[in-house]
Amino acid sequence: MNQTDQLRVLIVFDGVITALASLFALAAHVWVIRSPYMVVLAILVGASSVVMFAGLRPLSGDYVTADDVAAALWWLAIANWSISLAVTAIATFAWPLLMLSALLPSAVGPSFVSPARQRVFVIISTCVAATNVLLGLLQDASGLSGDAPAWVRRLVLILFAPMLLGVFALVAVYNSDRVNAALEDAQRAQDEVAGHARELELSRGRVVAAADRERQRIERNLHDGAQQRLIALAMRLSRVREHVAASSPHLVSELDSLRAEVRATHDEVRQLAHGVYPPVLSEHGLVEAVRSVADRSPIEVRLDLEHVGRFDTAIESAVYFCCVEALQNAAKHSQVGLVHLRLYRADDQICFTVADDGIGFSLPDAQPALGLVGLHDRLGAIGGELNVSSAPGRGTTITGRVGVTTSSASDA
Amino acid sequence: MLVREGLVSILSGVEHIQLCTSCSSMPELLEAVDQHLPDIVLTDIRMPPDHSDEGIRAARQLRVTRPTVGVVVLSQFVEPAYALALLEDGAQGRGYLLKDRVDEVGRLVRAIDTVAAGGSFIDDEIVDALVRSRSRMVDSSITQLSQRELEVLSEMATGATNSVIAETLFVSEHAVEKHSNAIFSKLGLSEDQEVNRRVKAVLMFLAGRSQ
Repeated sequence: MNQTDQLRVLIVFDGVITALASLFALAAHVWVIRSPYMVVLAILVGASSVVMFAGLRPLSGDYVTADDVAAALWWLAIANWSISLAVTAIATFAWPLLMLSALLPSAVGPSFVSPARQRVFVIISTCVAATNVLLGLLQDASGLSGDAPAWVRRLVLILFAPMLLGVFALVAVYNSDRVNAALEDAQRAQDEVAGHARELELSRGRVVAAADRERQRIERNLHDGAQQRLIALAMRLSRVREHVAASSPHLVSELDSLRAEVRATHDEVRQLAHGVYPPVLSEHGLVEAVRSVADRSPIEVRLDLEHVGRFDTAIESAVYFCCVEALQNAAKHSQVGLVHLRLYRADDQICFTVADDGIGFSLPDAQPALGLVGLHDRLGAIGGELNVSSAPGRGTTITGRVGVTTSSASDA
Repeated sequence: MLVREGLVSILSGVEHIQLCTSCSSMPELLEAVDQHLPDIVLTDIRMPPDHSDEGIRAARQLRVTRPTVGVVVLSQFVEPAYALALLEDGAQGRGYLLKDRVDEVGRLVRAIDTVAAGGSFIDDEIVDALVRSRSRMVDSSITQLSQRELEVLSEMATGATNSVIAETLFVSEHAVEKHSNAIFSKLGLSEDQEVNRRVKAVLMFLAGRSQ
């Protein structure tokens, strides 16, 4: 049952009760208490019932807006408040019953209108209820309370109290349904977000792994292809050199020079391949790979390496390339000749620190330029985190940590 | 394959070295050893089937099945970890050379001869890398060594005997022994002077690994 239908039910329910009350008053006038006030009462209550049913108008039609719902509620509210004051004024003994009428609009509100509108209903309902109490206790202008026999008074309460409470009960049910539905929606949305987040993390991991595999492929290609050819080339040059050493000594120096060129080229290609992906990382682990990159660093590196053991490729790659990037940054930007690199295990985490005493930098400005975002991403993709602390003139420290469970550690 | 051809050609000019056969995968290698019973196996690290560390694995296997066969590994990898992996089950009859200067025939032949005689031969570039690496470590006891001692240490790490070291550094063998004692004492290594165990001890020390 949707919101509009629920409101229609409430309106009809309330309207029917009100109509019954009107008939009751009429019947009471005819058979029990002949009094003009009874007639007035019957007419007023009957009119209110009509006003309530008028609230169904805005809810008809194909497209019901929030304003339509509010309009229907206003009809309902005005009808109830009028009854509350009018009936209490005339039949004061019924004032407890009419409290329910006065407060009904504020109870119905939360399910159907915005908090701002709801506040208005609450304020008016409270005022009407208060007035209702005063009218009930402080006056008896019509004298009906005195005239009406006790059994009539009791009958009124016994008949109409449960009906009005029934409306309240229905409202309570609708409200709780709505709350539950909202909670379920919220939970579902939360689960969906969590699901997306997980999928995103997995996808990130896959992207990084694919990139690493590609790098390994390139390295292997270079090693088996270009590098081997260059070595063979150097060897051939050596042999030629041997052959011509006796007969054409003037060519020897040229051949030596050529051979030196080839060796230099081979070295360059080897460095390139190593930079793309160092085989020593996948074959011997982080410690050896870090030692190797420290050896190739243009600035001095102080090493403090614990034997952290072996881990999943994803973790070793991420930590390794972060260290490399950090070292390169220090070499390029710190303007000092020394950087400290520490690699260690701390409980179920593997941690690294790259620190220099260089010129430092101001954090918010520099991040994109230093590829720090890339480092964050690399570590983030495997659930790790990166910390950068630096200040102009105070050096730079880059710390990274990655959680490793015992199942992801495979000691070689 | 190109390098293999080049090597075949280079070594064909050497009198006391005769080629038995050449292979292109680890299974082929082991089979060839069984068939030809060579004195030396000259091998790369990477080869089919996995292109990872076949050469080193083959050496380990041969240590058990054919302990008299020497293995000289020729590799492009300058990382000491590979050489140390090769020496894990002992340094005798094992050598590790970089392909960079494999065309220096004299050096190649020296390596082959040393390993065939049961000694060890480690490329000095590897040793240099190790020494640099050791010097970088924060708790480096290597800084206690004098320049001369460092030189002797590096020579020891290549697998050289005392007499070879003496020749290379132009000192007396007695001086080498003295330096060697001082080195082992300063670095806290056991004084086992057997050459093959010594080279392994020194390399392990340089690599920062405990024995």
